[in-house]
Amino acid sequence: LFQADPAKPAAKRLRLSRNKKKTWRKLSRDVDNLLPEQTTAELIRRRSGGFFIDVGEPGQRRRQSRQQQQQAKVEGSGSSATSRILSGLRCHESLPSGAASAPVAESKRQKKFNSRPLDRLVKHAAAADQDKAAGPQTMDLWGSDPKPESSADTDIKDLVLHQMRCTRQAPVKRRFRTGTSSAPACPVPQPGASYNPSLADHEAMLAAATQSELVKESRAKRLHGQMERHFPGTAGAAAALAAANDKEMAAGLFESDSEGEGDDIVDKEVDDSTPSEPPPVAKSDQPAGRTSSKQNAEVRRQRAQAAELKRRKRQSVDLDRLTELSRQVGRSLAAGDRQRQARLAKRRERASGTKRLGRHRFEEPEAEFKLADELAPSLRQLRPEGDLFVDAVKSYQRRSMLEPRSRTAWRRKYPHKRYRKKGLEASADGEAK
Amino acid sequence: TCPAASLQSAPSKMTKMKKKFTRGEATTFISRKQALKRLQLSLNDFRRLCILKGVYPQEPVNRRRVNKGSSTPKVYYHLKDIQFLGHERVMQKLRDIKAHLKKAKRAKERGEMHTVDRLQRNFPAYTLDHIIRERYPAFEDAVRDLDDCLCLCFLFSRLPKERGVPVEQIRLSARLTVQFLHWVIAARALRKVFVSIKGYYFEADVNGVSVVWSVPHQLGLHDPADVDFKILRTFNEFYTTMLGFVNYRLYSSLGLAYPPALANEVDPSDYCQTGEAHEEFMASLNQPLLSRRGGEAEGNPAEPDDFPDEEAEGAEAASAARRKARAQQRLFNGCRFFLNRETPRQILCFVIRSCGGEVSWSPLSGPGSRYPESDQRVTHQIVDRPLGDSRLSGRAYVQPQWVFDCVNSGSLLPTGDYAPGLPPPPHLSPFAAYSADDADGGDEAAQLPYSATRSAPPDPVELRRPSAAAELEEEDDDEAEDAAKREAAAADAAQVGKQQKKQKKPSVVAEGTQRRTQDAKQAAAEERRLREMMLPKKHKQLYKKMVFSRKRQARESAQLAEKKQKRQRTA
Repeated sequence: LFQADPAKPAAKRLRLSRNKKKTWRKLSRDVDNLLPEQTTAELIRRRSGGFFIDVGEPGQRRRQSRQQQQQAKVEGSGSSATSRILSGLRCHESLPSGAASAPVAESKRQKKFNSRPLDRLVKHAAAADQDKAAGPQTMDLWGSDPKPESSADTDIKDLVLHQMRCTRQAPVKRRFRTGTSSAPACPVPQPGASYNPSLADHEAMLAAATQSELVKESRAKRLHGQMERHFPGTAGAAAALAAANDKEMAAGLFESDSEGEGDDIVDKEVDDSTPSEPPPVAKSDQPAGRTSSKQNAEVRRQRAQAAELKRRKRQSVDLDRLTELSRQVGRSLAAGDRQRQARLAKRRERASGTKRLGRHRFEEPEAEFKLADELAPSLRQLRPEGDLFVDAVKSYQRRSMLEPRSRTAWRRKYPHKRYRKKGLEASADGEAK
Repeated sequence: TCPAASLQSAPSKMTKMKKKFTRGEATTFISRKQALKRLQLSLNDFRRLCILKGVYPQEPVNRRRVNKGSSTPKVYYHLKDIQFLGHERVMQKLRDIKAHLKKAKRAKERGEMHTVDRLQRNFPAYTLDHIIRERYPAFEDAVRDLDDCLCLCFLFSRLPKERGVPVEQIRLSARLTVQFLHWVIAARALRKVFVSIKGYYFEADVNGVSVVWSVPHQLGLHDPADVDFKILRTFNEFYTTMLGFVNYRLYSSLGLAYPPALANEVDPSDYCQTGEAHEEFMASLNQPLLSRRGGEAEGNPAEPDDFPDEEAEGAEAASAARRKARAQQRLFNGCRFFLNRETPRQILCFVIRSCGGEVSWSPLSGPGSRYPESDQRVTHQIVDRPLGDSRLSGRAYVQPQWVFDCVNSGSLLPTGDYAPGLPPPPHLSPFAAYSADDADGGDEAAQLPYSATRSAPPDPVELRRPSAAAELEEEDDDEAEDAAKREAAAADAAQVGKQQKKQKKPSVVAEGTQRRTQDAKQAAAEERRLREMMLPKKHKQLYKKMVFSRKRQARESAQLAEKKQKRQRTA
């Protein structure tokens, strides 16, 4: 249909197979024949520098010229987009005149058949363009200029009024739960963390770091003590075991060790006749102050009896103690008030603090510090401490926007097998060729 | 009356059995697994959606009630929040993406590369504008969240390509942060700078709201193991979109064109290709921007208003803050700076220009240089290494800390203290409140430049020696007092020495010798403090009392001596 170059007459194509060398030699006489047949798309692309289907912006309506409108009427109503496109194209005008060059009148069926795929393609292209927009519809999100009251706003107002009339209740607003945490988004480090801190600030920072280390040490010590109390001898057992293991594994490595040893390395102390038993659990040596449950019950009963006696006695003299009673009542009310205040304060603190989400608790990160001999003499020689990415994640966790997670090693339950589906295997072979 | 009628007329006293966990907290919260099932999303997609919409997990007051008797720790969300998520159109897009990826994987396995290419070209995309509008109905709400946004965008702009984050996201973050910095420069909004061991911390005044953000140091990033970059990428996706809109609003409030354009023509031939010229020169932070009406933007930032008739409680503090802000805005007016290669160029350029100064650097360092080192009008040269004899006259050579300290104090500090090669005065944090009471009796050493001790660090052997305080643990309480007395006596010399130093007139001594005596005093004071920290609790109280009484005595005797001197002079 379309010619490569209207000036040059089209050479006659030799429809020969390109299988054998001799046929190629025949074809090679005319260079043009060697080239594959040019597709129309390629041609159009070359001539017009890319082919675009300009659907136009979705909101706009192109004002059609009178001629275009008439043509649309003549062609009948396909989709407006396709008819617009087709009516805009005038490529057939560049063809030499003749019956063959005029557009063939399409039958109804053909038209329907032809228009459908183009329609869909056009719609799809338009949708894709809309989605992949280079930028948002408008950069002015918050509208600096005062907008005139649009119809949308009045519609909403009418809806709200209608609802109120019918249900006698205001419509439920969409509640937006924003974070109530009072922690700052970007926590600034303490003054001692400056790259060139003053003496007082640096010492305060070191003191704080020392305190946290001491707290850790005391916790470890307490744990050690508890272990010793319940399982005597085991607290240091791990270290002793490690030492013994090391000694055993290093036996014979150093020549000086084996020089003095004889051949008989018999343990005289071991007695294999009876199997070793674990030491009995020492139930009897309980720490002082513990009584059995029976004794406790006895004590409790006695106490209850005494309290009952006391109450009866007191009742008889209550009349004389009215003033004191009223004072007691006042005191208890005040205490109740204080407790209420404390409860409210605790609730507020809980609401504004870090929430407990999930399995792990939020742990405050240790503040980074530099020792006195690590301080940099100049900004150029400063080696940074800490990671701001970790800071960011911790800040989100502190404000309960993310829940604390721990990294677990991912272990495969079963060994990994790779296989290919039967169907894919066959097709893959075919495609690879 | 017949029994049937009485039954009908009497109110029913038989109520239905109340079932547990059908009302109250049990119905307002929903666990994460249930939410996933309800929304039909994968965990990753659900997390992304929650981050984009700003839906966060909640902590119910009583976990047992919510979990129907069990107390296993689960992550809970408000049911209404999950229902709210269900109406989001981005959710449908996430499902489309999942379907799309499935198709692409299938095509790739089959070897249909043209299909893969086609799918790649038509990857479903979504926009977040409506979400931003929903979460921040007014511009002020967005400004209040700007801290988070800036911190993360600055972090992402410094990421290397190999981190697994798409390059486009990194470049977008870099572009937007540079645009924001340009706005701060144009609006002269910078108020505080703090250089810490972690990074730089800035505070700017954006529409009356203080915004604090951090910028990491130039050196390489660590590789944090417990940071989930997938989550941070989603946050960054949201924040970059938000920052774009915020920048537009900020630029339009100053009358600048957005997207920003450089006012003058630039020649990128020495530095980069023409395509990258805009980005590179913008990143240099040294070019003026085009205003909306065309032409260079006028440099008239909005100055804070004066309200002389205010009688509120904080009126004095507020007016002081306003005066300081105005002083900061024109701090470096008329100053011309030259930055040496070893200095942090971008940070210094930003800080100096935000206070009205002009900057330049060697053309070899990067694009954006405006005048050479030999320019006669240069007033300050920022240097960070010991200089030789090659000094030009007519300019002051200072360390980078001088710039930061000037901005924090709101005035031009004497440049002699910050000369290159000498340790500068301490860099105090502008975010901490230093009261006037810090300089109490005997603590003059605290205000001295800490760097004075850097040349003589405390002897580690001395520190590790078990101090006298540790030995006290074995002694009785009676002897504890004696031991504490010994402690005080041992350190008394330093105390008395300090007192004498306070009263002595400053002698005309060469700088070197003065510092040496100061070093010794500094070291002694530091050691004493460390030993004080090592004291056990029960002795600390005693020791404090003794020190207090000694100080009081010393003060009284000093006062008496002063009175005597006065009388002698007048007599």
